[in-house]
Amino acid sequence: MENSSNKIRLYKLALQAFEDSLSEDDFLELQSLLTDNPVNQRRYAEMAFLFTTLKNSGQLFKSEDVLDMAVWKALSEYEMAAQAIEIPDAHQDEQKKYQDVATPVKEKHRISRLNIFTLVSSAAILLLALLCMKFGPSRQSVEVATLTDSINAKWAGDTGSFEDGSRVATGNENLFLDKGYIELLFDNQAKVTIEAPAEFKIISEEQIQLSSGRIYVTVPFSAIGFMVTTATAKVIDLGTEFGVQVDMRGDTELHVVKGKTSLITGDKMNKASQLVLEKTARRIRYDNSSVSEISCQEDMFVREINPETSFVWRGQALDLADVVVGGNGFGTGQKSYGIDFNSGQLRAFDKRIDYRDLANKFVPVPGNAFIDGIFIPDGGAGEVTISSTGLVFQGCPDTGGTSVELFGCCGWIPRDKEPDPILCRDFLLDNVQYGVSGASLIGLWGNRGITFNLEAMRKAMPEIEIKKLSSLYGYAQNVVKATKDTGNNPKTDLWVLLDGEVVFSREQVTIEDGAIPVDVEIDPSNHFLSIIATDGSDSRANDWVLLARPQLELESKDYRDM
Amino acid sequence: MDPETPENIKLSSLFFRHLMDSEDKIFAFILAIVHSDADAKDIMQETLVTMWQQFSRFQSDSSFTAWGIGIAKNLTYTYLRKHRTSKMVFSTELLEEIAQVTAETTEKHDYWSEQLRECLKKLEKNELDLIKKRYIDNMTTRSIALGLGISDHKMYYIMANIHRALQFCIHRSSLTEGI
Repeated sequence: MENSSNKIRLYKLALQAFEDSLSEDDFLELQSLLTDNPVNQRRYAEMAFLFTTLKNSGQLFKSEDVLDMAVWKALSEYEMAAQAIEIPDAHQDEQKKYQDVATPVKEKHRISRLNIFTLVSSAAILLLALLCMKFGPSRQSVEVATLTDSINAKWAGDTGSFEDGSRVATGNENLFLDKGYIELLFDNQAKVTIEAPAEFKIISEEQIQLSSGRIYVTVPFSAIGFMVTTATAKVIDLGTEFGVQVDMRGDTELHVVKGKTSLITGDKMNKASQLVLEKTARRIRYDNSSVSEISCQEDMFVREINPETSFVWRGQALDLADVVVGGNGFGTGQKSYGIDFNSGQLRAFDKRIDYRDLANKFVPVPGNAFIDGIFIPDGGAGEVTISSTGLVFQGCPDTGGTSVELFGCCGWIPRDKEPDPILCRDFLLDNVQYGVSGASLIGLWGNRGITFNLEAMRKAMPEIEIKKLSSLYGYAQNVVKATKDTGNNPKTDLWVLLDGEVVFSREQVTIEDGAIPVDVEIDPSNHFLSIIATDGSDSRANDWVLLARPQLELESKDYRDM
Repeated sequence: MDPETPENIKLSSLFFRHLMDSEDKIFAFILAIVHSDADAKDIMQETLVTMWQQFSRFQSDSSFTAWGIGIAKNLTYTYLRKHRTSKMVFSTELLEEIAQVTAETTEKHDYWSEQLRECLKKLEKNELDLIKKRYIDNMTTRSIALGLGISDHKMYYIMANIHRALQFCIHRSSLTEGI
């Protein structure tokens, strides 16, 4: 059986050779892959043609149409009606496979039933060949994937236990991931992230079978057609990201996060196929194979893991309120904590503090890599330094130069805990309650600034891209209501800066403004994000302003961008 | 040959017409054997000069590509003999096998070029961008890797996968066309 990683190695070495980047060891390996191997020799010769043609044919690149999905639709339809296929010996020369296929009648320049029939026939023949190549059972165990990353992975059973970097082979036995998370990179570059407990089997380079648990699949063009099978369903990828769950009852759930998939259900006599589109989901019941629409839960599956930082990402946004109270942005922070302006340390809200004589002092936050520092801005007292690298907020207004209490206030309230009744009460913004389960906030109040270190976040999550800041800004209406009744109408200003440049601002915000949406696009080159509230030049009294659901929206980085 | 005579003008016109169809095939043949773009360019230059010098002996009813490949093969072997100690050269047996396989593959080259256009459309945008960087902007894989801040090793794997996908796509098309 041919080792598919050797195939990729051949292409890689050929490219290196053509670019004069081959080491002596590489050359010997290339020679070894080619010696007495007519199939590899043909592939190598074709690579030389491909390289030459691409190099000399700029006009080839004119059209950028997207993938024609007809073939893949036909694939799923063929699969639906397919009978058992006699699989040739997997060692068989590819050329032999081509010769075994009858050529359909081809007629050009005429759109007729015959044309349609020909198209369908061609597709069917193609599919037959593809199925032979792609979905045929292996007679031997073949290494088809690499376990690239894992976090606290523990394996059960006798069938396998893998370390990071281990090659994973096809096999007849199920593998049991008892605890933790793993990431498998198939040789065709399909990436599969598996969360324990899960039971699965690698069928081929293009197929994984899930018996129970949750997996998330990311498929690039080179692996289109990757298939996940369960007891009741086959999911054929059409260039996408999707998650599949098989629960304890045996029901299958398919959640398509990006792109689209083909879902095939039913037994041999009664197969059904449907396209499942982006942000939609289906449940397939084990007992009767019925398919129902369910809501797509985008944060249900673990998509990325980082063993170095123990990050486990399910597609959710990074919560800045959680960061402020000492968390990693995904709910690990502590309730009723904040950052002390004197020390930069995280501390519980156990007493009221007034901070004076600290205007424009940049206070680093050493215990939290995601926060560069905090400060009390006062443009009237000189330069307002907003980062450890010396960035300055040009145009900061003159303020009172004082603030009160820890930075952060209620911050993040863990979902399973009640808000602190005294210092971390809940706040209303446009009649929506924040500071309660699942609705985080940062208490900015007046004259506070914080700078987040985006670069540190990227380092901790190298496979994730930070796309956008989104939040709501405004006065906590249940707190300032009383002051409004007394005729007091406090004002504040909000400033958002990227690397020292103001990218969003709202000045003279009052209670009447309600919740102001804050949406700021973030570029991969941005290092620091600063969020600042100033007192609106009318003192900080009653400046009970907050950032509700302050989130950084994240996306998986395409591996080709990394 | 005196290039100014009407007969030679006609001859050179014919030569270049043939060459337009065959140049890539001959170059790919040389490239496969010497496995170095830079060396292949040198040999190609020498091959073109020799082909032009001997064009009057070319039998018009035979294959121009095959004739050119014959000349290229001799010149390539001479080049490799000369540089065997300083360059990495395939074993003699392997050279012969690759020369034969590559010469056979030239027959499909026209069809390949045609299909390649369609298959490029099926690449994802990121993949197409990488291919453009490599072949239109003429960046090496190493310089693309440097620009993106990733290792050469990883970028070669990424490029290898894209090339493999294109090759697979072309073969898939040839299955449906019966080629």
